[in-house]
Parts: sequence; C-alpha cells; structure tokens
Amino acid sequence: MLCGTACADKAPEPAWSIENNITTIHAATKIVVAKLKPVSAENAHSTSLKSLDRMAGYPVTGNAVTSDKPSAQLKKLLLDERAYNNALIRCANTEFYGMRFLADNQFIEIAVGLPCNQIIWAYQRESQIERWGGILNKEIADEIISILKQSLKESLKK
Amino acid sequence: MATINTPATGHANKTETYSGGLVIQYNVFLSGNTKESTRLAKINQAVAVIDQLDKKINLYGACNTYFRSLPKSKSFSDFWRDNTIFVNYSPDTTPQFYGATHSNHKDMCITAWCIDSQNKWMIAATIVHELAHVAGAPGGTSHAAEKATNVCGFKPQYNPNIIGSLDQLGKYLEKLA
Repeated sequence: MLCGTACADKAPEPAWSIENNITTIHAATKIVVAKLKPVSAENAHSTSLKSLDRMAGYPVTGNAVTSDKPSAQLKKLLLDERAYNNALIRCANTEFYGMRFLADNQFIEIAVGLPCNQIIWAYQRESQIERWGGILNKEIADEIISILKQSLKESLKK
Repeated sequence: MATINTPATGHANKTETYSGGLVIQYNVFLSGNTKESTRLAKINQAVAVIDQLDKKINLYGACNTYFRSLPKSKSFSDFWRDNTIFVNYSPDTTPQFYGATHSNHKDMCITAWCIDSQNKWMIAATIVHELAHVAGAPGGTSHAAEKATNVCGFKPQYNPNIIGSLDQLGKYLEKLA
C-alpha cells in the first residue's frame, strides 16, 4: 500500500484500548510527572521512548517528579473511552505536560498538549515503538492537567 | 476552486459533535457588519494566495505528488479545483486553534481566532492543511496534514518563527505578481 507519510505513525487501534497498555496503567506502581517542552512533531516522533529525558518524545523541562502512588482518578480518566475524540483540527500546542507510568518492566509515556487538549501515547508493542494520538475532551483534559499540576506543586513543598 | 461558504452559495450551516461534547461549527461567512466583512475579505485574500500559487508558480509538482501519496491518491489540484469542497467559518476564538475538517471530507472551517489574529498567508496555509485532511491525511499523531503546508509552499507552523518564512513567501509572490 502506498502511504507516503500518511500512515507512517497511524496506530491501528486506540492506545487506551490495547490490553497491554490497560494492564500497565492499572498495575503501575510508580508515576513520573513533568512539564515538557514543545518540539516539532517529527522530532517528538523520532525520539519517542529513546531517553528518560523525554516523555513521548517531548523534552522534560525542570524537575521530573516521581511518586509511588499514581492517582487512581488519573488512571480512570486515561482509560475512559469517552475522554477521546478524533476531530481533525489544526491547532498549535504551546505547552505540554507528561507522565510515565511504570509497572514491573513495562512503561508507557503520555503527553498532553495545551491549549489543543491533544494527547499522545508512546508505548512499546511487540518490540516496536508505537505512538497514538487523539483529542481529549476539555473537561477531562482540565482534570488531568489539574492532577498533574498538583503533583508538581506538591513536590515543590517537600 | 474550493467554494467559500457565503449566503449566495445556499450551503447551510453545519455542526459536528464529537463524543464528550466537543462541537465544531461549519458556518456561512456573513458580511452584515464591519467585523464580518473584514473576515470575509481575509478569507478571499487567502483563497487568492492559493490561486496565485496555482497559476504563477510550478510548486504543484511536489505538492501534487505529495497529495497523491495521501490515502485518496488524488492531486492537490484535483481537490483545490473541486467546487463542492467548502471553506466555512467557525466562530471559535480559542487561541492556537486554526481550523478543522468535517468527517464528510467536504467541509473545512477556519476559526475566528485564526482569521482575526493571523495574516492571509497563515490562513492560506491552514486551508492547505485542511485540504490534506480532505485528501485523507489522518489526525492523531500524524504530521501528514501539516507537512502538506510545507510541501505546497507554506512552512509548518508550530511556533512564531515560522511566520517569518510565510512572510518571505509573501514577498516572493508579490514580486511575481
């Protein structure tokens, strides 16, 4: 099939519905949260899961905060299919927040871009790095960002 | 060429509602007051930019080839010269939200924020981006639609630096005019 760049990073199914990802999120015993720097889509694509200095390909800025208690509400929001839509929009993100869920030997990285409420999942599947993206519904994006900001804020107090 | 949705076209307003409540409007460009007339004038200018590219520069070798690589396998000109594709107005004023494409792959919209805050080159680039979605470029993490703007003469725009290159293209076109 001739795809050009059109299907280069098109995941066959939503990341939140892939069994391995669901298991990893549910079983996660650790989460790393950070503010991320916007970079070009191609740069983020080519560097996804290549280094711990990035999340879903976006460079970590400032301190990454690690917690042994990933928020149950955060997990619930991310695995709710009603959180996502597939609108075709042109929108430029000016900031990103990222999270890395760790469970045993598995990990998943997720970035949320604002103000577009764009979400990008990066994960390994059958030894391949895959990325999947969608648009988060605004209320859910707001709640996710609020949880992430709270984690970052609490770390400053310690 | 693609048709600007004005009252004269008889193409009604549309909305598309996504799961979770996101609503995108694809409306008629009105001209009942100064603000509306200014918006319509800017859309006309942006469409003229793309027409000028079509007529004056042989950019469409690469552009047409790129569009043929998209899922519908048709050239940029095939889409641009299709007057059943409509450029609509969205009243959305969310910053950084430029435009969208309806799932019918016939209607695109340019937002009030884009028209009010950006120049005609950026609006034209947005139309090319949306036309790539019409041609089948996916959303998600895909860069395919935005890449079309670069291949067709407009730099991808994710930060303010890119505006410079669009301005340069504008000067180049002015010389040719």
